[in-house]
Amino acid sequence: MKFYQDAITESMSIGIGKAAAVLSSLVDREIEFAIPEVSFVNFNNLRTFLSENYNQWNCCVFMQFDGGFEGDSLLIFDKNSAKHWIQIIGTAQFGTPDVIMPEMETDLLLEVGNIIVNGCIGSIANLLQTENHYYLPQFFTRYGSEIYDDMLEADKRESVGIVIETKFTLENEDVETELIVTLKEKSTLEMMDGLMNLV
Amino acid sequence: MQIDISDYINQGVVFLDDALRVRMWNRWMETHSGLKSDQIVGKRLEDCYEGIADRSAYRQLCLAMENRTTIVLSPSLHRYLIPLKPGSTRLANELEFMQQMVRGCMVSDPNNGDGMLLFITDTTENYLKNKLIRENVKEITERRAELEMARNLLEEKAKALEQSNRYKSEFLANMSHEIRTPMNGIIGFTDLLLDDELTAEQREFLESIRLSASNLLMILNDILDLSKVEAGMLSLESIPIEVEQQILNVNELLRSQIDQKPVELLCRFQADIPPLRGDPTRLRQIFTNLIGNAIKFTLKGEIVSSVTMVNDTTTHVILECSVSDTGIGIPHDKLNTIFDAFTQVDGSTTREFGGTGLGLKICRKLVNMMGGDVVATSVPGHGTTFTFQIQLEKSAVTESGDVDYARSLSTVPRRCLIIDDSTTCLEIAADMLRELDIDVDVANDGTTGLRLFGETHYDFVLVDIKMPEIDGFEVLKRIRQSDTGSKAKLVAISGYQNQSIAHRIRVSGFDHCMYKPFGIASLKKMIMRLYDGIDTATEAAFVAATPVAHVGDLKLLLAEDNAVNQKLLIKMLAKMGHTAEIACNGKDAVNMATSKSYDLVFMDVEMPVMGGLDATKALREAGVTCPVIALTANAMSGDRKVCIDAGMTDYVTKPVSGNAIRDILRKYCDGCVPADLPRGKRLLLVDDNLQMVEMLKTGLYAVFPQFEVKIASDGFAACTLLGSFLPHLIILDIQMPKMDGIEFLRTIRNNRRFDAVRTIALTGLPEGDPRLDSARELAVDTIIFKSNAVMGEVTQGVNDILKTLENGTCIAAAGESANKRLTAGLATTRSARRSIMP
Repeated sequence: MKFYQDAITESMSIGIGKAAAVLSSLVDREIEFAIPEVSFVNFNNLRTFLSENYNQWNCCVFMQFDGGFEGDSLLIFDKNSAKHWIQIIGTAQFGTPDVIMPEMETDLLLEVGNIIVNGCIGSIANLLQTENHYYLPQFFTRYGSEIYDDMLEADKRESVGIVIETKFTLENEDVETELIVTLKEKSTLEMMDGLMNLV
Repeated sequence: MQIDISDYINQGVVFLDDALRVRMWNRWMETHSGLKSDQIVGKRLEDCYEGIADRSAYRQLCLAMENRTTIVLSPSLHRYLIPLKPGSTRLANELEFMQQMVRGCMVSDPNNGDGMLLFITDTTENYLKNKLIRENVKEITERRAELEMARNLLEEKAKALEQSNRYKSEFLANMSHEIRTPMNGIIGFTDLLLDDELTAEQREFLESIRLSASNLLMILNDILDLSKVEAGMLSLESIPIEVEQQILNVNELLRSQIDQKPVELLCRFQADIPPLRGDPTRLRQIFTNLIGNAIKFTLKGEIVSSVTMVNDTTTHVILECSVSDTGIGIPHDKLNTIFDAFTQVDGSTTREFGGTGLGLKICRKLVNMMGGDVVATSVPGHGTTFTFQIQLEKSAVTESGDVDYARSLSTVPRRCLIIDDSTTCLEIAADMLRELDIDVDVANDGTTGLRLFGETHYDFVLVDIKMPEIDGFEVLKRIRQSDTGSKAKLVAISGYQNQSIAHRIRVSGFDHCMYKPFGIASLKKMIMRLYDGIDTATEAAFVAATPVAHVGDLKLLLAEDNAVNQKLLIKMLAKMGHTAEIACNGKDAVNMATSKSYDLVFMDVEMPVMGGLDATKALREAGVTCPVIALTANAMSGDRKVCIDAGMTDYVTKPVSGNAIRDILRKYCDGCVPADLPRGKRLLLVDDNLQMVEMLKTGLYAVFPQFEVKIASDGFAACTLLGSFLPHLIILDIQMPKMDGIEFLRTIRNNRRFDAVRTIALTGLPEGDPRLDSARELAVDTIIFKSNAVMGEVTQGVNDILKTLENGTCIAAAGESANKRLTAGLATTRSARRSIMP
């Protein structure tokens, strides 16, 4: 498991790095990032995991994908992270962070989330040299324990959740973001084989 | 027919192939771009829209297509991808291009191959709302900054104002002191010179100097007062006040200003005004201004001061006061301007009538401070009335004890006659007498009065002296010549008080005399004198026959740094037969007063090295208990309290007059044992019966000359006195007005400070009265009944108590022989009294 963990960590670093570069150019601010921490959790335990760690209102960007491997990704901004992203962008764009309406905050977080997700999933696809198809990302706000309520499908019960905890640093303040990539069982195995073949 | 679903979506739908050429451009895009589908399909966006390739949104799109990922372009970051027209004319007026939310993902189209399917949403409305919010926030932020600046500026101004007020206050205090100090010298020495033998011309010159100095002081006081009021430095005292007495005092003071004019001063007071609290000084100032003005502008007739109660709540009353004259009046168009500073009716007023024009302004300010306003009404040629209302707090106690009227009369009068040509005076006097349950007949002239007197029996007659045709002296003469008139009680009433009138009244045969204006208290005193058997002449004889405590040469200390003031006061005191030692500063005063005993210390407040307040505190801490009287040029509100709080006994304002010094010595040293006699025991006499008090004081002093004696007319006055006088023994009457002996005993027994004070009760109550039991319960040492030989018993009682007092001096033997002398003296007085009584 350690081998897969290391491989995915390296790949995620590259992906997050690309995302950070894109975001930095957008907001015209320096954005640093830390090496992500990768862990694995069984899908059935995800609800408990999220209840314990994100039991508050969270902003979520959800994107499904298929093609080379099938699954979905969920990017979670907790309340403070979301507020911080909005403040930074608001200040960069308007000179003051206090002037973005809630509707515009949603659009903004969706774009930020899209960039991060694409960077991370894209990096895995690059690593495995596969081509994925990505569906339009969605935005919603939800309590941690309820996030997967609508998405608990039968065929995900054996899925593996890859939990990637990232930390960006914007304006001397750390912003933590959690990305959970859920792969269907078949895709999980294919990914593992793919990674093994790289060695 | 194939339906293109994208034409029914309220969004822009665009499909770009791998080469970034437009392959689908839905109806919404046609509407908002102005480009028909066939005009753009097959072309690249950058070929149709100049500059689009430079936009970050387009670069993001290209990157996403290259990486085959999804694209989200928020309007917050990018504003728009494709320059489209806003959705409505209104929005188009605000913004050139539509704000857009763009989302896209890679798809495979069977006809066009792989490409990016874009969905474009119009978010212009949100953008504009946000812009408005931004602008409002910016404006609010700017306003907040302006407010903050204004607040800071206000704070600075408030600090500057506070400092300015402090400077003003210090300036006023300094000016008050600096002005009064030399005035003290000018007026004081002028007064001293006037007491000497002078030629007529010298006297005339000195009187002019005195008058000029007094006027100058008056003007300076007015200016200082107005400055204080304008600077908000003037505050009102709240002490028990008898409004009637204050106004009567003002009238008495101002009567001399009437001079030879045929003008009478009258007062009308509502009877049931309860005890009140207020500022007597400022109330007197208001009436002094108004009555003073009335005197100036009234050539003949009367000036009536009146007080009625117009509102009465549980805690406050509203009094309506007025001063009405029969003077020259004020033109209607000047009625409002007379209250402006430095404004008089016209410029000639100052020359003819004098004054600064400040008095009414000060009056109005003072009345405003008391919760009211002054209004003037006038009829030129007929007179003027100034009316104002003030709010005063109710008081639990009155300023001084009232004379107990009915209780002390041997006979109660039931009917009287008043003869006066002034209708107003008749009304006022008749109203007051009716309140005393006396039936009143009135006569407006001497002839009518004589006729009524001949027809009816009257217990007493009030006769105005100055009447046309038949004056009061003629009425007296005719009544005395009549059959029933020789024993009639006749009282002269006069609106003029000068030596010649007073002398003539005294020798003409009137039983008593009253000066207008008089209040109900004066009426009661007059009736008491008429019916208690002691008239003024007899009382004077009684007092003369009784050994009076001779004060002698008091040992006084004067603490004063100013050489002129030192000389002045020494001279004044020498004229009164006293000497004073001098201390030039507070420190010297403390050293002298702690090493030597003085009867009284005059202490200037402003002195170098150590000021008067600190010196007094030091004296009190060292155990010096003699009276310390503040001499100060400062007359600011609160100064008196500061002096009293420092331990001073009383307060005299510079310039100090001989009368003020005399009053102080009389108040605090009369009955005192001179300092070189053994001191020790202090006695307090509390009785509302003035004669009893006089008798006790005289009799006790003859037997116990070492007593320091103080007098109070009722329990409340005694309580006030106990604030600065701790007696060893109190001799008190039980039945007294306002606070009786039982209540007084209860008060002092609740205060541990008076635990060691002994008491003797003097009473006219019969044995068995329950109040006597109350007195015994309150630890009274002895009860003496007034029906007995009072003096002997009192002497014995005092002697018994002295024996039991710590360090008491047993003077029984001396007392016995002194008692014999006293009894002999009193017998002489009683026989003298009998010979004078009819």
